[in-house]
Amino acid sequence: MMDDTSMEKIDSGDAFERILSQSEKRLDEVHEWRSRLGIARRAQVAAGSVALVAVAVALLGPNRSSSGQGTWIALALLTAAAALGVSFAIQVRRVNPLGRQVAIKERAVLNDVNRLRELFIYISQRENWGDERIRNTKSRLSKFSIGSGAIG
Amino acid sequence: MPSVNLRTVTSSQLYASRKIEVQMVAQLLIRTDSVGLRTQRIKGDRLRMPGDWNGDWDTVRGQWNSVHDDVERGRPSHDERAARGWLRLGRSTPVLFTGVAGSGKTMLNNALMRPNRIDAADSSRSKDIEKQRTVFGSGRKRIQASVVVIPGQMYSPERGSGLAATLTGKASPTGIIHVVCWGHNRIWSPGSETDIGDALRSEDPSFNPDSELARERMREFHLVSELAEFREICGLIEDGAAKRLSWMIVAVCQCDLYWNRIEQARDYYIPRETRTDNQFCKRLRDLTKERTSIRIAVLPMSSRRISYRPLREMPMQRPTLDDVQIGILRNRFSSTLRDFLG
Repeated sequence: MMDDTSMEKIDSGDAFERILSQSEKRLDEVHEWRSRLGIARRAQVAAGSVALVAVAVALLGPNRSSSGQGTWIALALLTAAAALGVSFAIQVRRVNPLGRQVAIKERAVLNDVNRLRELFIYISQRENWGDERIRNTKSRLSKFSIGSGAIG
Repeated sequence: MPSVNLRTVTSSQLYASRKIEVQMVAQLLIRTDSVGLRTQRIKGDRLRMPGDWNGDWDTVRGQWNSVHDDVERGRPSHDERAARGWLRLGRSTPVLFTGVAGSGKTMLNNALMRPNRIDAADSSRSKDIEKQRTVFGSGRKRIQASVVVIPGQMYSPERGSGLAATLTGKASPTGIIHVVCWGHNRIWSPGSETDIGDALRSEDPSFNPDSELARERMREFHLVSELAEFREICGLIEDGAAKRLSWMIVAVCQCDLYWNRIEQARDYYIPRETRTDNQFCKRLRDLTKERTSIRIAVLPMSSRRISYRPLREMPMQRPTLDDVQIGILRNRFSSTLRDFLG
């Protein structure tokens, strides 16, 4: 899987700032994609529920004449199959690609931020950063997890 | 009337700026002693003043030297054992492991839990706090501890919340094992190794990875982070966190990699009365001024023999101690830990 980690050197405060800003933007993107992923999964749950209801209706539906009952069951099963198809399509077309993108982006962001963490003290001391800048940078870095998964 | 070497008192670094005042207080203490009030005396005839730390650095240094001598002689100490999973119902002492990333906290914890396994498996970067219940010691001397290892990645939410929850929560630690390694930290990500190499080259274009100078530069690089992390921990304690804290062991790990310079490492981590403190010693000394009853030990330690390469492009450093010597280090460390826990 291609990694999206920044290839830029972190050998100065400017480079540090650039990569941190990029990581923050990418973190926002990850949040946006996660929210889309959430919507897709909710749609899947809804389709799955429709399929379940349709099967339940087919099994427990009103007792009619044998021909009417057959149509009723066929309709219910068709509805269930369509709902499952929709759920499957959402999985293939939406959830899987988005999940992959989120995982790649997330790993790249965390790799970059862990690189920044290693160099933060060294660069801030070498360039004599002021207290305000140091405090601000610490707080920005603290928004990123070490790499155990969910970030932000 | 007890005799007091006033010259020693006045030359003490602690009171360098208050010579006359100290002389007067010392004389007053001698008088009060004669009418039954308590004065304390520490090595070198130096009087301990009210509000002073209960310990002294000569004792801390002596303890280190004793471990050093044992290792040099290759004399195995008595066997210390730790078993996992015993005495689960008893009261357990909360112990916190701190230290910068790659200093060997998890390895040390594993070594203390499994004292007879010199060949313990390698560890990886801790991504979150690690909590365990461990029993240190053997037989009647077993002491149960709840161990929390805080990840060393500074400015990460895992570390921040872990420290806040542990230092200020109900299970506030009675002891801290602060892990340092005299600049022999492991860098977990290959990307970071490249970055560090680039940063050092940008500072000094003649940076030659094969040179001794480059190795020293790398060590200094890590020491800066180590010091910042120690300052943070001390700052939290001085701000009122870890109210129940009664001891701290500074574990100077991976010393098998620099045993030929172990005296330098000792002098870096243990303050001396007669010398100007470096930043680490200054911080440690300040901590004892804030928490005067704290017990402190600074000990050399090595969790296991492991080769080390500061950067991918640098030559490999091999451990210089054998398994018996590492066993001695581990036994002596466990013994001190058990003493502090008890």
